[in-house]
Amino acid sequence: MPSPLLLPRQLFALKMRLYRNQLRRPTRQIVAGVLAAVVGVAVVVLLAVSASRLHDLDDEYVRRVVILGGSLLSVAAFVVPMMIARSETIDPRALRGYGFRWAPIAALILVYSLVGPVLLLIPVVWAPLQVWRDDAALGVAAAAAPLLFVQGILSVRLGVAVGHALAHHPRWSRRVRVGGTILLVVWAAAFLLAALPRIAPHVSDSARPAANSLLRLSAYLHLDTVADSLEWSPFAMLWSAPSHVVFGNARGGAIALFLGAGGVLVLVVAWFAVVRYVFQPTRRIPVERRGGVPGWFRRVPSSPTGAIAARSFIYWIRDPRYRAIFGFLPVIPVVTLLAMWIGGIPFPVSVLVPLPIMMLIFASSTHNDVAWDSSAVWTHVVAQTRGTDDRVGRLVPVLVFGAVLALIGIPLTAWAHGDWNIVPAMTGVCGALLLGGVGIASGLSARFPYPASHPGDPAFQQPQVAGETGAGSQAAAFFLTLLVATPAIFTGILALVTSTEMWTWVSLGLGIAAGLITLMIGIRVGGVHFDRRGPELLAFTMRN
Amino acid sequence: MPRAQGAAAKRPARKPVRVLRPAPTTTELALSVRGLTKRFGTVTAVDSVDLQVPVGSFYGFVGPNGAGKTTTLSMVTGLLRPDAGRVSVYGSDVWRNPRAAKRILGVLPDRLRLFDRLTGAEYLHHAGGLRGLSRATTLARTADLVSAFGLEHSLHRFVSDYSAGMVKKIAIAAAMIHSPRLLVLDEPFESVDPVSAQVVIDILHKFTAAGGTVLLSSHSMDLIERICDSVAIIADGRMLAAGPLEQVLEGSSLEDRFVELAGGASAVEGMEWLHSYSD
Repeated sequence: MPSPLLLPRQLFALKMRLYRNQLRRPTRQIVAGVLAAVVGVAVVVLLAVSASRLHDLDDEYVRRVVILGGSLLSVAAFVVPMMIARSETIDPRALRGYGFRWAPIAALILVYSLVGPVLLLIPVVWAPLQVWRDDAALGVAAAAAPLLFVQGILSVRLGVAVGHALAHHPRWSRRVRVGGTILLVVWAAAFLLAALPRIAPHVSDSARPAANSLLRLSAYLHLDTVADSLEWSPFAMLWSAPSHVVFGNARGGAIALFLGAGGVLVLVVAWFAVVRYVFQPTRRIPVERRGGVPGWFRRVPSSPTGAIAARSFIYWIRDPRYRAIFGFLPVIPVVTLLAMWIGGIPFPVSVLVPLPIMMLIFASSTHNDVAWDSSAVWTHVVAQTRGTDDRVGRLVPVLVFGAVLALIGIPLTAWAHGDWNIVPAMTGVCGALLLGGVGIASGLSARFPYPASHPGDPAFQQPQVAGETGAGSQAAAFFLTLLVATPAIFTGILALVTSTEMWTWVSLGLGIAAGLITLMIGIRVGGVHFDRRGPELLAFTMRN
Repeated sequence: MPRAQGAAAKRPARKPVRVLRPAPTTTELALSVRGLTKRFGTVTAVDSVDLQVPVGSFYGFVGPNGAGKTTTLSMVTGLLRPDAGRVSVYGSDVWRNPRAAKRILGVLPDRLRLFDRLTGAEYLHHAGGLRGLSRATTLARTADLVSAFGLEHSLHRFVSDYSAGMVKKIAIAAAMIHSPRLLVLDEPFESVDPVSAQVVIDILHKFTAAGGTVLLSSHSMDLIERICDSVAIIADGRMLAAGPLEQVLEGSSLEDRFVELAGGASAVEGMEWLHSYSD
């Protein structure tokens, strides 16, 4: 029977050894590390002490600053380790082989993390005690401080645990880093804007106009309501507890303390659960994955058209050239709206323009898809795929994504325009552009392919061949698509100018009808060309 | 079909994927090529080529670089339109009745790009869907093919991450998924390691033993001599010899016979300056 003190002693020795080993590096690095640590400590202490500057300011302002600043720190305590940490210094799982139980290990890791950087939390949680004047509020703040300290430690530990798990998921790891950075930057900006009103009078004259416009922005964004809505969130509850007392709501302060303590308890349970989880033996022995029909192929019928549609969907999502189109789409409204704002066109009018342009560009983006997906040509020729199957399969993803774009874009446009009566006309124009554009692209791409970069190549790589650039084909795709949508656009404008509801419905009918007819013709023409010239198309893609 | 047989023996619940043909008779032709010609500008790449491939044979197609192997096989499989000549697969003309001919034809082209952003499983399902197979059939055949070619662990990786040998294997598997009667494989063993090559050869042997026919091209004379029962030799777009291995070889090795027929010795002449060193 090993001594009950074996684990605590061993773990402590291990912790100390790890710290000592940190020093086993070139002297210059040690000096730099110590300097960095000193600077870090100094900054934290300085910030904590400077919190006393809030002491004499009005309570409402102090409340807001404390809520935003405190919740920023609480979020950062979890998010920053999650973004940075990719390994744990003492991984509970590594102790599994020695016959210890998980619960003492979880508790000891928590206790021993007190000996380390988390000590910097002490000045941070002590800072609120500098802020409040009211004695009762000070009492609440004193009660909240240890809770905040424990909350901080647990947040850091859980953040490190999540970061450690993310080490095996590079894609999620990247997303967490980007998302975490955005979250923290936005939160910090909100905090700075909230803190600005009492700082602005002290800035130098040259910076005053900038500070004033920022103040206007903060009033415009209603940052006081941000603080109010954060007040009862788990990140801010303990920070805001004393402010309730200041405003005479002693009961609110007690409730906040109580709920905050509950939140800390939840974190304790979460920490123990995490350690218990990683302590489990691996049940899943890696075996080959087999069986099921892979993703997109499950969602389409098992037919040539279905297979081509599934393959197209996958390429729209995985091929950088296709993804570049998705990346380009959001730029269109920004540029067009900016241009028309400069041109002095009133907003309710200019807001009607971006969506049709996006539709036009998106629908005609496939006007060279035969050359784009050159690997498809030989596969389809070898399997004697019918030309219409090839055409329909490839345009299904464009229609689906285009429909999603319309479903999002049309209500947004109508809302920004301020009149829901334009919805039918807008639907007609977008329908004509999407269906017609896809149909025309489908016909053009089989008839007039031009050299393109290879499947899977970077989006802006030029094809390795001189000659045709496809400008003519591209212009034809745009022009013909616009021609198809002209009746719908014309009647739509008529509806706007005359404010007659009838015209919006005419626009809808004309747009959808013209689009559908063009789509059918495009599929037919493209299919016939594909059938007749399959081997020639293959020779074309081989040359390029 | 060997796969179908094996599967039926192990799992009686599954129906055989294709009813087996009776043992092939020698008179029946899996592939018949007559007067096949292709010109690129003034160059005649393939000049009036004839080829008869009997059912059940394992036919090798050899020739020096640029001899017209890939051009011929492209025309045979319907990928390149010939200027003259006829190609028929089991009596169906590839160019006049492509639907019937291509249904019983499995193709591995050389130097054509696969959909390499798909995973192996997605690639096979894509091939199965294009051939109009039902979902259940595709699923069952994918499982069989994948275990036959030893690709179990790579099924969910992108084809672009495959090694050259694995790419060939997945492409051959895709060519076989609709259980064709004739497999036309252009350079199936190029940059494939010997172990993988042997796996592919075993599968192809089982395929021919069950009545399928294989036509494959290669640079490796030793390999063709070892695995094929018939051989065709092409050089400068002309068919120099074709037929059962013993007939073509006339007692010598394929390599010697090939050099003899293709006239490789002449290239060495006229290089006398190489013997007088410059120092």
